[in-house]
Formats: sequence, C-alpha cells, structure tokens
Amino acid sequence: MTPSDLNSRFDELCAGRAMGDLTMEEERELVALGTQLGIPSDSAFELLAAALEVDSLPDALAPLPARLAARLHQWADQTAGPNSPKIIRPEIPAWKSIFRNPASGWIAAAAVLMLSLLLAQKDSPPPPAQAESRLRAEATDLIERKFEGLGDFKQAGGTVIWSDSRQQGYMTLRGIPANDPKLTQYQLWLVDPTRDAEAPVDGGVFDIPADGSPVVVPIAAKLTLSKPQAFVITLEQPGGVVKSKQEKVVALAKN
Amino acid sequence: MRSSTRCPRFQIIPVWKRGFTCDTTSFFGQNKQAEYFPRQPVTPPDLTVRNPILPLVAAGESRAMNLCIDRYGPLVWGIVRRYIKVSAEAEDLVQEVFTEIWKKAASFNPALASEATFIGLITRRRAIDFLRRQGRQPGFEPLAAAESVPLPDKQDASIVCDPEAVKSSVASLPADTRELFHLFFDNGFSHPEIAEKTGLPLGTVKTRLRRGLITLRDQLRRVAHSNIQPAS
Repeated sequence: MTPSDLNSRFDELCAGRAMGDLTMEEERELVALGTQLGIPSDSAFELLAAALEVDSLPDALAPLPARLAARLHQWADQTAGPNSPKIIRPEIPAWKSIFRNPASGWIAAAAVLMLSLLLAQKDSPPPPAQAESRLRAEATDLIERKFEGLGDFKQAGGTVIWSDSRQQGYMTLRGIPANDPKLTQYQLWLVDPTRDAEAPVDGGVFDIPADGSPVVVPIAAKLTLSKPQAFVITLEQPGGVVKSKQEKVVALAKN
Repeated sequence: MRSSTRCPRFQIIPVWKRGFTCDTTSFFGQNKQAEYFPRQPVTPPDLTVRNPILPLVAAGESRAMNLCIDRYGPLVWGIVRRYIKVSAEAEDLVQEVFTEIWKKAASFNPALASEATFIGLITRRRAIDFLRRQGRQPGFEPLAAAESVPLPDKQDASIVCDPEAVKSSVASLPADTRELFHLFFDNGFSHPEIAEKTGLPLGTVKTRLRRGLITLRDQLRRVAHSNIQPAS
C-alpha cells in the first residue's frame, strides 16, 4: 500500500467510526493505522455526523421522561452547581497534560482541591433567613403567598416567596410539627401550569426542628419554573418521593 | 446496530392524575383543575436559540446545568433512543451524557459548531460506544472509550460545521449517496435495513455512506480553507 492508500484507508475507517459501523477487525486496523501513520483520528467526521443527526431530528422532540428529568436536575443541584466544593471541575487541556505526566496531575489535583476548599470557606452561602431577606430586597418580580394548614395540620402557616428571574424562593414556616428524618420528611411541590400539565415540580425535602421557632427553608426546585401558582407541602417517606399519594397534605399556598 | 424506527413519543406518566389530581379539590376547590392545569402541549426546545449555555456551565454559574438539561434534554433523549431501545439503559446513558457535557463544557468552541451539534457529538459518541461495548468480544478493546477521546478543537477538526455549508455540501452529493444518507440519518435505518430496502449489498451501503462522509469532509475543508484570509 502506498502512503496515499494508507491515508485513504485511515479516512475510511475514521468515517466508519463516526457512522458507528466498524467491525472488530476494522477497529484493530484503525488503531494500528493510527499508530503507523502517527496521526490522530479526524474528528471532522464525528462533527459532520452529529450535525446531520441533529438536523434530522423532528422539530417537536419528545420531552425527557419526568422521572429522568427529576433525576438529572437533582444531580445538577447536588453535583454540578456552583456550591459543590468537593467536585474538581476538569478542564480538557489539564486532562491532556495529566495523561502525559500522571505525577503533575496529582499535584494539580491537590492544588485545585486546596483552592476549592478555601473558596468554599470564603463563599459559603448565607443562612437561609439572610438569603430570604436579600431576595426580598433585591428581586423585582417577587411573588408571595400564604400557607394555610390542612387536615391534621390546621395550625400550620407561614409564607412563601419566589422569583422567576432568579429561580429562587424561600418558605418561612411555623406551627408545623417537628419530624424525625429517619421516619418521615416534609416535601414541597410547586404547580407551574405553563411548564407541564401532568406533574407538579418537586421543590425538595426538608425537616422541621423541635424548638417550635419559625423556620426558613430554601426551595430546591428540580426544574426551571415560570410563575408557579400553587405550593403544596406533603409529609413523605425519608428522602421524599417522585410522585406523592398526598396521604398527608400539610399546607397549601395558592393564588 | 441502529433501530429501524424513530424515537417513539414518550408517554409521561400522569403523576398528577394518579397522585394529586384525584384529590385536587382538597388543594384548589371544585372546578379549579382547568385553571391550574391547562392541557397545553409541552413546548419543544428551540434549538435555534443562540444564547449559549455551555460557557455558563463551564463557568459554574448557578442553575446553568439545569437550563442545559431543560434545553437539550429532548435532543439528547431523542438521539439516545434512536440507538438504545431499553429504557433503563437509555436513561443511564443520558445521565452519563450530561455528566460528560458538564465536564467538557469548557471545550465547546462556537466557531467550530453549534451547541446542539457539540452536544449531539457527545451523545452519539456515547451511544455508539455503548453499543460497541455491548457487542464486544471478551478481552477485545482496541479503541479508547468515548469519554477519554478528546473533543474536537480548532486544530484537529479540519472543518467548520456551518449548517448552511453542510446542507449545501449534502445537496451536491450524488443522488444515490444522498438517498442512503436520508435513509440512515432521517429515517434511522440500520445498514442491513438500508441494504434490504435498496437491494444493494451490505458492503456497498457501508462503503458509500463512509465515502459520502469523506466527500462532505473534503468539501467543507475546502470551504474552511477558502475562508482563511491570507496574511498581509
């Protein structure tokens, strides 16, 4: 085979990889040819195939299954948010150098970890009560509703505030019995009629301490919301549920 | 390897009906359901929106990843379901895709391709890699796993994926190659299915698709080079 033939064959195999149709023998051949020619696979083929695939999708795509969307948002809140000091965000160039020199990777990782811990100490979020006051002072699109206790929780009350532009909100609750987190937890649900007609949005689980004082609870909505019109608190199993049977509805705030 | 059908319309479990809706009167009073739950269709994400999210994700902006999931979740789901029919496996793969998007958001280069194409590339790569692993013989793993392969940058991607240029290049392909592209990308047919439909030998289908992609790459490479201004 001439060098030109080798390059042509290499291109064909790279194209095959982008199309997902390489046989195992061809995979072996691609690896061997790449080594022989000393050139990386041309990612243009993958870019092209992706562009064609994306362009071929129907205009009205099916949404993510609700359960999967909730799982992804929970992951994003816990792992991919700005306040995740335990996570080191890898940059691609850094990874490339780590592969070349593993020792430098460990040194870099240690440095990033120390820096992230320092930043975490410096930028730790304010207490919920302080954050609630700040949101009240700064948000220009604040909505506020009053909670009313239901059923066995008639004494429950409080307020909820929400800002669409900031996607932030807080509940200030009183009169709700303390819970044992090992047995039950309270869970917030938000009704956003413009988003999904089928499911309320999980607003996060929380606990009520036993001291009886008012509690400020940040809302941890799993989806982006637009003008939520009702806020519902239920009592659920520890960790909350994906869908509530509303066996114990604690309080409701609505228009 | 691919399924012969498009991504099926996914039926959202009517959580509200089975949970809250049964007793909505306890929340909202009689006849309030229509007011709070207008039965409007879910609005598909507008993939033409060009307010980039990935730079915000790379910068660790609050809720940027949530917005990314909202905007591109249907795209990722649509691609993954074309390749993987088992729901549980598809859902796990979508989680892996978004984890990789989060990790590699900083390598998105808007001069090279759109966000949708970048995310589509990660998704396809993961899905193909998943199928490759499924069909792999024990002890055989010559290619690097998808997550360890660098994403394209300006240096190693020899083209710029401008949608208009891609469309124009596809239009200039021979009619029989265009037809194979249509069956593969638009209809989601596998190579054996295309061979059956067209009566072409399987090897010919494979070769023509690959060579069609190479022709496209070459055409777009020429476009990219012709757009480079000579230094004065």
